[in-house]
Amino acid sequence: MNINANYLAVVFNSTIRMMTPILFVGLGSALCNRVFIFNIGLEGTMLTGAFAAIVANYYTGSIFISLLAAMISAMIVSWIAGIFMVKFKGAMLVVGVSINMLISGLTTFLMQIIFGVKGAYVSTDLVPLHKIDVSMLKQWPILQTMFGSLTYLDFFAFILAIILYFFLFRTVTGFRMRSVGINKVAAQSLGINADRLQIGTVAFSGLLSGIGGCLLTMGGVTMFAQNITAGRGYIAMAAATLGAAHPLGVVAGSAFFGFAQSMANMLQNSSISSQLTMALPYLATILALAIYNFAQIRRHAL
Amino acid sequence: MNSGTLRKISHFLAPISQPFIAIFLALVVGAIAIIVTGESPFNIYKIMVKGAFGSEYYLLTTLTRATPIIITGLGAAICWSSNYMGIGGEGQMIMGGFLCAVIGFHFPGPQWLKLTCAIIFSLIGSGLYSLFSAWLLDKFKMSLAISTLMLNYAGAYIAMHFVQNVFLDTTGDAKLVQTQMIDESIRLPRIVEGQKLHWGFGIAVLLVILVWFMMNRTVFGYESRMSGFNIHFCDYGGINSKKIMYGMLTLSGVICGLAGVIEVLGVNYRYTHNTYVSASYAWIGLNAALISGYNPIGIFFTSIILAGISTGGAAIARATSVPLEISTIIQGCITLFISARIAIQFRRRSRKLASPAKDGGSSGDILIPETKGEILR
Repeated sequence: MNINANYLAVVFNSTIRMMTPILFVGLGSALCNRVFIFNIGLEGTMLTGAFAAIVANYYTGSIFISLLAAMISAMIVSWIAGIFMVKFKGAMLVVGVSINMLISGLTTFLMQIIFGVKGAYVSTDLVPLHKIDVSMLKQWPILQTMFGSLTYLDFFAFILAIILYFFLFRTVTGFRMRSVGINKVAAQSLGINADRLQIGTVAFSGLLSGIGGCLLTMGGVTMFAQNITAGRGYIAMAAATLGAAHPLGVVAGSAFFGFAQSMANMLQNSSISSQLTMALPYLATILALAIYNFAQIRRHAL
Repeated sequence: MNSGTLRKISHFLAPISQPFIAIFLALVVGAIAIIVTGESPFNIYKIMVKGAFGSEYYLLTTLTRATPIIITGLGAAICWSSNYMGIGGEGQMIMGGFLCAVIGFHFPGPQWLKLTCAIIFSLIGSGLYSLFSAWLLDKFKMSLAISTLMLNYAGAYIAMHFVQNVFLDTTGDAKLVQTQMIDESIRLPRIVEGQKLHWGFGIAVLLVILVWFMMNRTVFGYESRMSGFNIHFCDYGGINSKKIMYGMLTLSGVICGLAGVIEVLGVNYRYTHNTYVSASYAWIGLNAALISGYNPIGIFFTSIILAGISTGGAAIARATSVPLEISTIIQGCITLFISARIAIQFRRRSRKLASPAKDGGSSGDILIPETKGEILR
């Protein structure tokens, strides 16, 4: 394992592919944080999107419909969670935990009914997302490695972060959302329908996590496995916290986790035990949050 | 029958009616899922009840399965009731089970010494593991939910690393990542000869009583519940909320670790990677705690019901084409519908504002207080 420019390019490429599913969900989580909702159910809605994408793919073979199915199904599940959190005043952690459990059971249940398999479903009939053609970068093999085998959704994730940045800080709706997050009662007294805004945000965050789930199952190897998200929804929440619920900060946060994940994959070929490298992204999350919070506390203390 | 008696009955039924409504609605959702598979819900639920409580064998299997759920439920209840919402039961249980299996086999000396050290060190280990997230919360204001979740995954992989590379049992099935079996003399004896149920269930019952006593009859339990109600009030009243946090989270880690220890000593006699995760004992235990409103005696019965849904689901999967996960769907739905409890009570109270004492389960909205601010930190 020698470190050279090509190796770094491979790491860069794999970081991008690892980070974009987290980025989509992280953006959703950031929006929820902005309206004062701690949406732990994003793990479950991401799993919903991942599963719905593969089911739609199996029946129609159309990428567009798969993406749409992922978005809509995840949005519906998230909307239900939002209703329970805001309208029925259920404790957010409780609603999130039960949604995650319910979806984990439901996807495995439906996987056995629809595909008739346990554990994982892989098929050559499934259509993966289109890869962007990078042959025009022939002269620069490094760039070709860096941006090879990426999908349009990977690029869209970054564009979306910028769009959401403008949405949150430059539009009226974004302003209202932030005001609800700062003080819900005060916002309501100004005539903002805070409940509807919160539920809408939770539903929208579900839609984003659905895209993330779709990217997870159709971006690289096209397959669905039981609980394929493996805590990525939780990692995305950590990324949103790390990015101070700022869309561009979330990009940095999820880049960090993408890097940790891609290092974990890279190190599997080395002498370090693969189980330890798999623990790496989760431990890195704790370390990064500790450092970030420590800096925050110090700054407030000054 | 006069209205007073009626009111008394409704007063008595109010706190338990909500769980029953939630269970009923969850069964309706489960029935829809069953209809999708093309089976008859009544038939399937009949098999489920029979497979959960139908005979001595099934009943004892359910109780065996309920044991780790009761214990992790108690562990979750004591930290959630004091408003520290850790979801690290799974990692703590793995830590307890893994350490117990390894020390119980590899520690030098006679068997009784192995057993003692295995129990003591695995409980210390899982307690420290939980203490770590308490420390992160205290020193770095890190969201307990996120740190415990991350530690669940990290703990599972680290335990897997040690089992795979250091303590692997190479004699048996090569596919399973598991440690060697502990000696027969230090296993927990069975309660009924020839059945699965072991004395770990007795330990769980004892623990229910102990935790109930601690929460309701000791100063520490009182202070922790008070800090769950209003932490600022507690600090003002001279209760050291930091001490409560460290104490409660460590104790909850020790209890969840004990669930792993009992699984090793009573059921598997070894640590196998992924067994606790795939059975999601700790998550079901947390659900049991939430459903019963952190009441230890409630947790005991709720755990048995939830375990019954699991074993009943297994019976369904054996006999019909309905997948095993029907039980996870029902369990998840119960908790989801329970979470709406607060709203219903809230509405009822606003209607009879004049007589607040008639509000049966008024504890609901205090049990799960709004702590978003602290979590979001």
